[in-house]
Amino acid sequence: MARFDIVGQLGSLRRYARSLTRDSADAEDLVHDALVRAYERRGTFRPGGNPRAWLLAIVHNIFIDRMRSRRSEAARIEQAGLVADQSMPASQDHSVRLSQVREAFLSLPEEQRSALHLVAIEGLSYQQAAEVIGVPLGTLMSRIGRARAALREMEEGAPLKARPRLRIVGDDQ
Amino acid sequence: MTAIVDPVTDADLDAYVDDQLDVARRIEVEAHLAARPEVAARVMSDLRTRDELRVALAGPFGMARPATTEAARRLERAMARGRTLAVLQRAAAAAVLVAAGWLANGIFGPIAVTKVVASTQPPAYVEDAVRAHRTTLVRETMPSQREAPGYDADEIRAATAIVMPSLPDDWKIRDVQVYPSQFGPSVEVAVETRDLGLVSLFAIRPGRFDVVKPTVAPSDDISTAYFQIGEVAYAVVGRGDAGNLDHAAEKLARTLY
Repeated sequence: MARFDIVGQLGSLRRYARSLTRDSADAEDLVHDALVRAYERRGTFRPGGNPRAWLLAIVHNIFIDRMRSRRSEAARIEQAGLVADQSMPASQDHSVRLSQVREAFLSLPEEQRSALHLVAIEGLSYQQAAEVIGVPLGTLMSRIGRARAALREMEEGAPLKARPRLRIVGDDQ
Repeated sequence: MTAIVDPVTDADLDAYVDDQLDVARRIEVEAHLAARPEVAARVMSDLRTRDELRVALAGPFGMARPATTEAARRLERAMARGRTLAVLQRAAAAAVLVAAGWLANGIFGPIAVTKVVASTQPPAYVEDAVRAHRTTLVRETMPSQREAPGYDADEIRAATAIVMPSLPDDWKIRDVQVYPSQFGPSVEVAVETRDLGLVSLFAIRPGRFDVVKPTVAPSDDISTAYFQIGEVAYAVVGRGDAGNLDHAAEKLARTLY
């Protein structure tokens, strides 16, 4: 009998929650509440289903519920921007670049952020991600397209430090 | 980009970055990119951003609390319990079925179906049995494929927990194979018979408990008569007349009660 590995999904759930809430403490609350709700509604898990996608969907739903009930707080979250804890001891250039990318990502609208996170970070298929978020496949794909376009734009407008240093030879004229 | 009609869209490029394409489509996208350096540069930059995001968001979870892990454990245990419960429910349903079979046996005499019952959809193992039988027919023509005609029903039962029916005296065993399947070992016996020709008898674990009376599933040239007693299903596969196969299956089934 294969065991359900829920503890092993905690990393995934925390990452997703952090991308949604943009705050470590809120993310932890969200994951905890999602696990409590999952426990209450464990009957809704389809046998043979993907436990990770099921849990990510619960995290997503609780987050959306909270957004709706706490509009004013959502504005605060919107302003708070960056997640506090720093990660990855990388070289100076890299960590600057990484925090810019993360900042750009976290400033995306929630719907684009969640779509891109599930696919690019958690490696879900478009179909699975669409089910987690509860939108049609086409909607998910257009959100990902818009998220990428926005990131590209930010990169082009990013401060000098993040710009590529190579120039095309002969571009000077 | 130029105005020529191009089947590779922006959505394809996103799907490429997200690793959502099959290899054939990847090759098409890569051919498209190879001819368009500026699009390729954009895709490379998207790939870079994706990888950087993975690193940037992978950081440690400073605020992780033991209560969350405990909630995860509780859910894990509950779901494991739920599964055990489902198995028990299935076993209970099976017990009801067996009881019903017993009762039917008592009322209608030994379960003996004489007419051919056309079932709506034969179980999946029937198809496997037919396929395996075809392989046996191929093996028959290959002298290099050694056969193992030794047949010891007790040994099979000891090794696989499958009770084999007693075979009629005029059935000559050609080959016995034990092979793995999803729900435990299964057995195939190839038999030479007088009235049915070369026949394969399968004992398979279909993965669920059931009692099925001998039923015929005819297909093009090869027919199958199958029945199930408890956890083991039996299938008799051969070229012979479907009615005769059914008859043989019925006789075999009787030896198991």
